Amino acid sequence: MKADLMLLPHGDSAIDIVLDNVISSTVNARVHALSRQIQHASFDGILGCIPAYRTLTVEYDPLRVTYGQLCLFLRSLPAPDTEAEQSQGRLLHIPVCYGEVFGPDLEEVASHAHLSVAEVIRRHALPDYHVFMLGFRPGFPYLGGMDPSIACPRRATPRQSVRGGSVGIAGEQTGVYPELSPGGWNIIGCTPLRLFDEKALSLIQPGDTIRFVPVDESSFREIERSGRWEI
Amino acid sequence: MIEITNKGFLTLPVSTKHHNLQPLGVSAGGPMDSFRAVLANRLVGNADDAFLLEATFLLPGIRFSSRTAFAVVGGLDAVAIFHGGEKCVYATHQTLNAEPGDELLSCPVERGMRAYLAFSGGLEVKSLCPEPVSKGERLTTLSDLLPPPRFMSADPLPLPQNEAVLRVIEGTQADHFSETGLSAFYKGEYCYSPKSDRMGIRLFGPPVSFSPGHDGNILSEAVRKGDIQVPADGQPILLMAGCQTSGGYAKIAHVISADIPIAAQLRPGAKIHFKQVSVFEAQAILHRLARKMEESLC
Repeated sequence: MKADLMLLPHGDSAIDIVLDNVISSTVNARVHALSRQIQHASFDGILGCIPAYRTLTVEYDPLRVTYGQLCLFLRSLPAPDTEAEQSQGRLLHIPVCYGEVFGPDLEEVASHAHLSVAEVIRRHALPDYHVFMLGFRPGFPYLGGMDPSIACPRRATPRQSVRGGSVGIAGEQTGVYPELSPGGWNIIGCTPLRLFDEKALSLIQPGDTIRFVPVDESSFREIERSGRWEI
Repeated sequence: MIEITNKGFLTLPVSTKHHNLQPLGVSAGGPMDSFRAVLANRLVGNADDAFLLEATFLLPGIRFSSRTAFAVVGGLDAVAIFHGGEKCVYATHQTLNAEPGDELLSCPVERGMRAYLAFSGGLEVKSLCPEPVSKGERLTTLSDLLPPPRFMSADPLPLPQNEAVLRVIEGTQADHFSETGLSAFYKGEYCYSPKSDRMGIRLFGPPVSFSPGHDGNILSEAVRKGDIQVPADGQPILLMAGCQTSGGYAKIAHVISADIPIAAQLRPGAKIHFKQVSVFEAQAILHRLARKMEESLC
């Protein structure tokens, strides 16, 4: 069976493969499966694939391959095995020390949700979060699956600097800042793991699943010092 | 080895190499005007994707500590070099040889906005996201071999004055805009805002309106240099080499590869118009430009 793809020219050096306009882990798994399939085919002139929620942007060198040739190639691909793709992603356990200096906005989030601090932590650490894509900054994961009962609007005034590893909530989204940066998310905790560096690149990959594991301050310091953690 | 004696205004090590880490959120980066970067590299016998310096507004001052061939490509006709206590003036757009102790003097880029300085062997740069150079910084050149001299006989892509027509391909979200919005975009004149940088050129002009049911927001997806996105205020932003990897604004158009160097060389205050072409025309234009680039080098 052919994949029957909707293709759009994204300028003269990329093509967008466009799937259903929804945030869905099934649709997103298809994006990642297509990305793997196209890169595996190593078609001359294709430079790379950039996956997002429901689109895959295929970059190419227009001096080596034309738009028409690439469309023919993409349309000739067999439908990817999305189920196999869903089992490809890894389950990563990310240690988080919640509250206190690590999560200066945890109490604010709790009072906004009319919940205790302990209950916010429990609800944040309970689900498995799907990594739809990385973007915005190196190693920044777009996560899906947060319990909407702990949603909280962005801070009215963004902080000038948020430490790397900070775990935050903005609206119904949760995420982790990979590096020191300004930010308007409500910071509820921090992970001692390094999400991105130039050698190891990104700890989290698109298509992975993340589970946050609450740890206390002494464990945080120990992991930060030794780098040892069963991910 | 070269040493920065004057950092200029903003001098950045860049390479056209495709690192392919945008899926991990790392900006594609690279030169704003990749065509002049490639020409500068070819003048010193480098691979097209060797690291070189991109100078914005001002050429940096550089002291050479070994024999090095270098080339300057951009909107200036001559550069001055201190050689044995004497100031010598040389034409740009050709291979120049520097002796140990020579110093290239900082000077303004007279036309366009960015000039490129390539060094034989290319610069050694290890960082994925290089920082601008600073005074006193030393950079390693990767070869001491001097290439055969070459020169550019003609400029294959003339520098723009303070206005340009940028050719674009219809945007991937063109249907998010109203008829009036699209007509404002294609008929209107936009001004290059001073609040622009390597990430993007902000434009102000006739606001672009959205079609019913659309407000400029989309599910985040990959963005690339050349994309023109329109946030809710209706003022377009042309994304350039330093743009982030993903964005959630609707894209009305994409500047064709052959015209991105023109956008890169416009200065704040420039007047911009847009003209739509097909992807097939855009690719034919790019092929013609690549051939002109080949032919311009002797």
